[in-house]
Amino acid sequence: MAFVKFRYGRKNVISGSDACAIGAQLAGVKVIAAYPITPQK
Amino acid sequence: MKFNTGAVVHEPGSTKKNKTGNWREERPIINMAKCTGCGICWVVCPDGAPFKKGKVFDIDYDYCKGCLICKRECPFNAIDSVDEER
Amino acid sequence: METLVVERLAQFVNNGELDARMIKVESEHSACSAAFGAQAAGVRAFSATNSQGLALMNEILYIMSGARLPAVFGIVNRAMSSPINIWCDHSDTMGCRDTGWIQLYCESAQEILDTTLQAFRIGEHKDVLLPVMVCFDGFILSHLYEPVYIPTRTEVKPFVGKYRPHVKLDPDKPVTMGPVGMPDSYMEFKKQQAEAMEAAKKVIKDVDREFKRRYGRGYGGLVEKVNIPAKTIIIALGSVCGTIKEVIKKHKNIGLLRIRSFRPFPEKEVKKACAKAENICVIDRAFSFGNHGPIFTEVNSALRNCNATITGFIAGLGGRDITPDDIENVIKNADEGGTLWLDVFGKGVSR
Repeated sequence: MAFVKFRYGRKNVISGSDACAIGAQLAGVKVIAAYPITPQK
Repeated sequence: MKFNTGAVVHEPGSTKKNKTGNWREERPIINMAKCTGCGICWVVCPDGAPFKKGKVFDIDYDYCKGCLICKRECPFNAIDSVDEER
Repeated sequence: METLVVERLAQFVNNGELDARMIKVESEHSACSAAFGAQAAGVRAFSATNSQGLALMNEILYIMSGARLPAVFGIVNRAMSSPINIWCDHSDTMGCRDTGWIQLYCESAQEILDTTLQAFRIGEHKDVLLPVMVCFDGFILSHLYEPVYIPTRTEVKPFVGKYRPHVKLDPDKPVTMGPVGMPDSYMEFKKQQAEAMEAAKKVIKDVDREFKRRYGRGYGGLVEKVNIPAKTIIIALGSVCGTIKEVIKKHKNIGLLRIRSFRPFPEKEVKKACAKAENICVIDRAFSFGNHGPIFTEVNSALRNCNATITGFIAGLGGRDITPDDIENVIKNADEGGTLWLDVFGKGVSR
């Protein structure tokens, strides 16, 4: 994962929000609908 | 009655089995002599009850709910109405 | 606050780490509707929201659940306006506890990741088919950093599997979703939903057990028990449980029952854990104006045949910190009964 910069042994130091997003990413969600978000491109 | 999970209806077009014509309290009747076949009654009908029969239109009373929008909108005043008899 | 979750997902989509469609919509009501449409089309849909946003999508929440579509939403628990408050509070999810969504409350970032994965398995189970909210405290859990083990896609694939919808919109096999349910049938569909929620109790436990077996991390299923049975039991949910766990270490005979699944409500587990307790302290980070805290009310109902004194503590609304001193006050007032408010108007404890 590109954004994960801080390590703690085998673990990565991330926020709860990151954790939730990663959970959804690992589950291979196909559609994410949301308001508002900052466009990434 | 079948209770499918999530109330999903699996049979396409099954709504046709629900004959809403028995909701009617007033029945629209097309005067074939005045009807020009313009189709405006079909355009405005919420149930799509009018249908083309040759050069004129007739009403499918299985589904006509008697709202009489067709009577109101007919540009030739070709549609009358009577009380539905029960 | 929840924007971080979807912004992170937007990054994944943008850099190719996730093959998904991001749908930017004009409001949360539309976000839930779009997620509903996606689930109806047969794919896993996700969104994240909280507070006013969750309230705005309220009518669609009922629809998602009634249509038995297992979307998973991340909810970053935040107070409801007014006054405007962006900090941690459970009013938002408590406010939609009747919508038929499964509600799981997390205590740590690791649990959030793991529970999000579990949520798909729970909601998609053929006996459940209900949407799931993965709830976690705003700022305290959403923004603070913790060491988390991040599994790889290969590791979790056998667990999370592929979504196999029981029905989907398909031009080759047309179906109607969300038709009218007349008075002669609506109630039957609601009973089916109720039965699905009931079935979810076992599924939540089974899925957590399977997760623990596979990955070595488990969360107790519906509830987490610390030092139970005990004479005094504190019942709470969310990150405050971390504070409670530290404080009760210094005491004898005080236990913690952390509610992980609030919907379905673990009535049996609450009854069993509190069977021999004398005092039950329920901490609510929300309040149902005109009555008591939501968890307090449900615990009272579960323990209606029990002799313990049950005291409700309203704490931490709008992000007010719940400190170890507050927990000490809870313990000191464990036998008061009724509802008390912690740390409000300058008073440590008041009615």
